[in-house]
Amino acid sequence: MHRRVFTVLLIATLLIGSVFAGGGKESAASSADDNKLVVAIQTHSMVSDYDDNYLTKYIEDLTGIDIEFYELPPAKADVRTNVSLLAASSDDLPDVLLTDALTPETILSYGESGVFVPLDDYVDDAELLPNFNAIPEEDRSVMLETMTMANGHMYSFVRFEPEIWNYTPYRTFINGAWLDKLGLEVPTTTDELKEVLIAFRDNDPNGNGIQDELGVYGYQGKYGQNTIASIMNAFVYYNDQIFNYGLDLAPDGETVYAPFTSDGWREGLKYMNDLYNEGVLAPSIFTDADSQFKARLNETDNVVGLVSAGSLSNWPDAANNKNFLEMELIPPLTGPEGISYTMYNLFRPSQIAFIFNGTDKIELALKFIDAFYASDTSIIARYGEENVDWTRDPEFMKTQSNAYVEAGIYDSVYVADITQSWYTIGNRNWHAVNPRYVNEYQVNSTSVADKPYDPEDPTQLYAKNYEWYVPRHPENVLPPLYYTVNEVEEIQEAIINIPPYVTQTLAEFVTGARDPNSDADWNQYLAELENMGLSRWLEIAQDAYERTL
Amino acid sequence: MKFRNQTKSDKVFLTVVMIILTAFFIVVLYPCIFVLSASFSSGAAVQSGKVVLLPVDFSLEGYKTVFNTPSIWTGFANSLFYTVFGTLINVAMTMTAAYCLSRKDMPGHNGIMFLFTFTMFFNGGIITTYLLIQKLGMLNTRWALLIPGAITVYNLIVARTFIANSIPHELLEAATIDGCSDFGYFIKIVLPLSKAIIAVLVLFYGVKHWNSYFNAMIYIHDKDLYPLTLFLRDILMADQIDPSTVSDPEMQARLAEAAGVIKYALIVVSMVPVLIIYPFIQKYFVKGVMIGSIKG
Repeated sequence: MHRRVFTVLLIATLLIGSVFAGGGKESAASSADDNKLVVAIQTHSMVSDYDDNYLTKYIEDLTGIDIEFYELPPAKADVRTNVSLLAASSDDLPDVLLTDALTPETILSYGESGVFVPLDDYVDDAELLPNFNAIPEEDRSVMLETMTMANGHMYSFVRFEPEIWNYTPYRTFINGAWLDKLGLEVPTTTDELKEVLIAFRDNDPNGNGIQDELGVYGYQGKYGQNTIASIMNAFVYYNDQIFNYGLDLAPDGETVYAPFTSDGWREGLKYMNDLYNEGVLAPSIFTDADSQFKARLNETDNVVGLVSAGSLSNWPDAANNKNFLEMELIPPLTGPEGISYTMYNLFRPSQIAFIFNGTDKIELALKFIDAFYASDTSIIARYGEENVDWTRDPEFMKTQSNAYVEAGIYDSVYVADITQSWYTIGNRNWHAVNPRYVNEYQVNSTSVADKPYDPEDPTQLYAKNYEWYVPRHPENVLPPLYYTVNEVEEIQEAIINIPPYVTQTLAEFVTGARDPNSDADWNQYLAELENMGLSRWLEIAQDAYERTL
Repeated sequence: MKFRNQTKSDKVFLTVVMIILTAFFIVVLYPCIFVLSASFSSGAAVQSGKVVLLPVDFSLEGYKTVFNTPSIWTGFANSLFYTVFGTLINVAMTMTAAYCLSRKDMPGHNGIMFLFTFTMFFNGGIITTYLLIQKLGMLNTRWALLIPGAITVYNLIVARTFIANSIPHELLEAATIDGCSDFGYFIKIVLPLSKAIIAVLVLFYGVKHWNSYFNAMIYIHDKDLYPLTLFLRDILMADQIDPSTVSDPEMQARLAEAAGVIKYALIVVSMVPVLIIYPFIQKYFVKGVMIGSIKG
C-alpha cells in the first residue's frame, strides 16, 4: 500500500514538473523560419512584458520580423556574467544582443575573439541601413567615433540621446534662505564663498540655537554629489574621475596631463584646507554614503550651506520639500585666477546593439537595428503610441512650452508626453535598451501635456543650468580613451592604483593629514604618483588620444 | 530550576548570558522592524532617512504598487513552485541516498561516500556547469532550478548520521526475519522514524530554494520563469548609479526614487512565506541539530 502511494507520488511529481517545464520556451535553437530573429535583451524592472509590448509589436509590424526574446537580467554585473557564458558556450547563440552593460574593453575582447560580428563593411551601406545613413553627418560621425574600438573595428550600434541636463551634473546649490536671513549676497568667487560660509557658521541661520550648520557638504557620489570636485573646478578643470580615471587635457588643449599634479590643484587644496580649518567644510564629505547624504540633506532643521548635486531626487519630492525650497542654484564659483569651470559630462553615445557571430541572419539583424533609427521609432521607443501616449498635433503643440523654449534656446516643443508611461511599470517600451537616434533639439524639447510649464516652478532649472553650466568648460575636453589590449596590460597597475590614491590624498590634504602648504608634503605626493607609473600612463594616454584625432 | 535557587556563580553566569542574548536578539530584530516600518512609510520619508524605528508618514503606496505589478506575482508563484517541488525532489533524493549509505552492508558504500564528499571541495566551476546544463537541454526550463544540486552533501551527511545512529540495527534484523524487503523497511520503518530529520531537510532545502537567485539568473532567460528573488534583486540594485556607464543618470536617479518606494514592501512580501512556515518546523529543528551530540 505505502509503496504504491510513494510510486504514485513520485510519478505525479515528475509529471507536474514536466508540464511546467514545457511552459518554458525552447532555447535559441536554429529555426527554419526566415523571419525569426532571436534578440537577447537586458531586461528592465520597469518593463512588465516584452512579448505583449507596444514597441515590440510596432517593430514587428514595421519590419515583418518575428522577434523572439532571450531575456537577460537587468543588473549590469549579471548581464556580463550571462554574456560571458553565452560567449563560452558558442553554439545556439541568439542573433542580436541588446545591452549597455559591456565596457569598451569587453567589447573589444569579444570582437577580437570573434564573438561579435565586425560591422565595418555594413555601416556605410545605405541599402541595408537606410535610416542609419540618413542621420545628419555631424551626429553620425560622433556615433561612428564611439563605435570604433581601439583596433579600428566596429562591433556595435549605439544609442544617441544628448540630454543637456546630464552634461553638467555638478550643479552647486547654496542655502538661499540663510543668505536672505543674514542679508548676504550670493557668492560668486571662492573668497566671497568663504565669508558667506563663516557667516553661516557664526549666526545660526537655521535658528535652532545649536551650531549645527555644516557649511560645505557632499559625498563621493558619481552624479555631482562630490562638492569637493565642484570647488576644485574653480582652480583647475577636473572631471572627478568620471572619465579616463581623472586624466584630462592640459590648458594648451593638446597634451594629455594629470590635473591632480597641477599648481591649480594645489591651490584648490590650500583653499579647501583653509575652509576645513575654519570648520565650514564637513569632513564627512569623504566618508558618507548615499543614504547618509540624503538623510543630511533632508534633516528637520536644514544644516546644509553649500552642496552640489546632479539630481533633484536627492531631495525626495523636491517641489514640496522644505529643505530643497531653501536651496538656490548658483553659477560655478570663480577662483582667484579667474577660472570658473564645472565638470563637463562629455556626451557620448552608448554602445548598445551587437550581432553575434555565427548568425546566418546578418541582414535581418541589420534591418532590425536600423528600424530604431527612424525618427518615428525614436519617439515611439521612448513615449509609446502616437496620440495615446504622446502627440505632435500642431494645434495642441501651440499650447505647449518648456524651460528651454521659454529661454529662447529652442523655437518650439517637439513632442508632448501625455501618459508619462516612462515612469510607471508597463509594456509600452523597452526602457532605452535599444538603439535610438534623437538630436539635441528633439530630446530636450519635450513637454508634459497635462502639466503646463510654470516658470515659477523651483524644480525647472533647465534653462539656468544651460546658461550657467553648459558653457563652463575648457574648449577641448579629453574624450573617453579606448586602450588596446597591450596598452591596458602595460598601464593596468597605474589605472588601479593612482585614482584611489588621488582621492585618498585629496582627503588628507584637505583635512590636514598632509599639509598642502608644505613643499615637502607636496613633492612627496608627486614622487609617489611617479612611482606608480604616472608618466608611462600619460604617454600611452597621449597615443590613445592622438588615435582619435 | 528557578533563578533564585541557583548558586551565586550560576546567577552571574546566567545574567551575563541573558544580557548577551538580549543584545544579539536586538541586533537581529532591528533590521526586521526597520524593514517593516519602512514598508509602511512614504517613499520620501524612507529616502530622506527619517524612518528609524516606527513608520513615518504612514502610507500603503509601496504595497499598492507591489500588488498591482503582475510580474511580481508571477515571480511569487514561480518561487513557490521551485520551493515546493525542488524541496520534494531534494528530500526524496537525500533520504534515499542517506538510507543506502547508512547501511554498512551495502557494497562500496565508502567509495560512494568518498565521491559525494569530493564534490564538497572540488567542482568544475560555473562555465563547465553551464555547458553541462546546456547539453542536457535544461537551459531555460524549470528543471535547471530543480535538478542541479538535488542533493546537498552536507545535508546528506546529516541525514545519514541520523539514520545510522538513531535507528537501531536490530530493527532491520527483526523486520527482515518477518519478511520485510529492504525497500519496505525504508518506507515503513525508516521514514516514519525520521520525521525530525525530514523536517530539518525541508527547512534547509526550502529556505535555500526560496532565497536562491543565481541559478535562475544564469539558466533562465524568460521572465515568466523568474523566481521572486530576481525581481527583488532588480529593485534593490536600481539605486546604484554610475554615470560613466549610464548615459542618462538623471533618469536612473528618478527610477531609483520610484524603486525606493516599493523596495521594502517587496522585501516584506518575500519574507512572509518563510516566516509563516518557520514556527511549524522549528520544534523539529531543535531536535535535528542535536543529532549526533548524544548517542544511545
